Amino acid sequence: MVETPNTNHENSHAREPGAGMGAPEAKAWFVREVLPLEAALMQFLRHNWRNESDITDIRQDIYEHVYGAACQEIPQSAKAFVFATARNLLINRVRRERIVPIEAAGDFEMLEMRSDEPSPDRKTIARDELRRLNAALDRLPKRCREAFVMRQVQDLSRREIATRMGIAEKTVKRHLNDAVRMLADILYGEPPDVKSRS
Amino acid sequence: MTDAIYPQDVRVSASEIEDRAADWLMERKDERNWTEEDQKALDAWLAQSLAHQVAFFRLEAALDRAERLRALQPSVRQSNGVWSIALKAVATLSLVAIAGVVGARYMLGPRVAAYQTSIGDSETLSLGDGSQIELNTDTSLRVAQGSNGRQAWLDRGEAYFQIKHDAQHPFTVIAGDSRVTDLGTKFTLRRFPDRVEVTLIEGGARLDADKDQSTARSVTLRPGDMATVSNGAIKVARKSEQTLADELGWRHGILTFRYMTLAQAADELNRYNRTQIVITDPHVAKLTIYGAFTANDAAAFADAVQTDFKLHVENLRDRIVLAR
Repeated sequence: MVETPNTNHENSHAREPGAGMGAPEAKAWFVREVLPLEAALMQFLRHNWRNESDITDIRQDIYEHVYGAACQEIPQSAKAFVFATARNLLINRVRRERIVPIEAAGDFEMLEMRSDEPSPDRKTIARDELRRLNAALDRLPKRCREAFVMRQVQDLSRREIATRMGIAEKTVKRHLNDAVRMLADILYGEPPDVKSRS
Repeated sequence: MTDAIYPQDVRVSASEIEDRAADWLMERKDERNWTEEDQKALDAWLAQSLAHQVAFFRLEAALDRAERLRALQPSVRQSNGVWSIALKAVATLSLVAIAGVVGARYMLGPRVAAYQTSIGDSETLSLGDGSQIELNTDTSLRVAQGSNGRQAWLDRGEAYFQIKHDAQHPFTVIAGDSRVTDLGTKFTLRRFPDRVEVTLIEGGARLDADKDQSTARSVTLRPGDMATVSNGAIKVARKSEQTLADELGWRHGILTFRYMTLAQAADELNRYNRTQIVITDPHVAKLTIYGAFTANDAAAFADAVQTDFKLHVENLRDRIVLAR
């Protein structure tokens, strides 16, 4: 039996903003258990919600609820909890917007996920992820990547990067922000590239 | 249906929140310019909503992954020309040695605790006085805290010290014949078979060579000083902020090599790995590399240099041999 996530907004305001600040275990759980589900979650959302421009907001909404709940009590199964939350929020959204996406008319389709796959040893993961990270970096726009590498690897300040690249600090800031956001989308939001796995 | 979480109905888009979170993260990454006020402002922003928190945690985790996985762009390249320039630059670094007479006295604390890390591991010790010591790979350290002094011995390896200054109870670290006395400070100390290196990051410290002799040599170190003690003689070189940051990279599992020979880079990497990189060919040993690598991934290093230098890589059980 899956725990029932509370996605009812009227009841959830009992959570004071910032109530989770003192919940480092909730944060650790969120990073360790929930974020790795993002690729599957995004697939689920894209499958069940046709308006692509809403997806980021919906994901954010789901995370907010899931993390908020974890601040009270860590759910037993992250996967079941995340997808149950996603389902409930989609239903809420359908009601609220008084629109019924075709896909939402029926049951939300739960994706089959293979959680019992044997996990490769740490070294294989590390090397795999290294390739993944490099592949992710390669996909950033050139200037964006340059700025990010100067920040991340060479530890230069925004000002130093601006001088080196001959652009405004404001532009550097935008490049860096874009870089970190795209990186998160690639690392968490996309399934690992099967081809690159050894 | 009303939305009780956002009573004023100012629902900020996830994208805007994420952008702000990225702002904070990149701002914070610039440690030199990150103040306590900044931290307070960030805490306040996080406390405003769960949405802020999750967006921030997510980007933070992605960045952490990038940090941990290291080898961001292992940009290895052959650059013999640049290497000779770098050599000249090193040669012109001013080496300063200051001699002084210091009464060499130190006391043993009553409680001595011993700490050890194995190859590839690191450990952070938090002392009761708020000081912190981070042990790098393959390191042995003893710490004594007594009523009339604080003392540590670096018996082997390397450690990063962040010492809470207390004029009444100075903190001293002994490595072989060298002794560092903190004057409110952050520094690294590393033992080599033939020498000891001290790099001062922040604050000030006094370094004494020949700790037991009344004719000991002594210098006061300033931030950016890297002192080498060998056979009782002290040499001090100035290091750029860049170099200091590189030298502390191990704290995040990162090794940065800037125009280093492959042999030197391999030596450095081998400290962190049971699988040793072996180079016998003198030509290969002299190749120059530039790049950042994961400390505990010898295989990734070998992959990178293999591609860039077209080397032959032989993977054996306990070593990786690089050859032409």
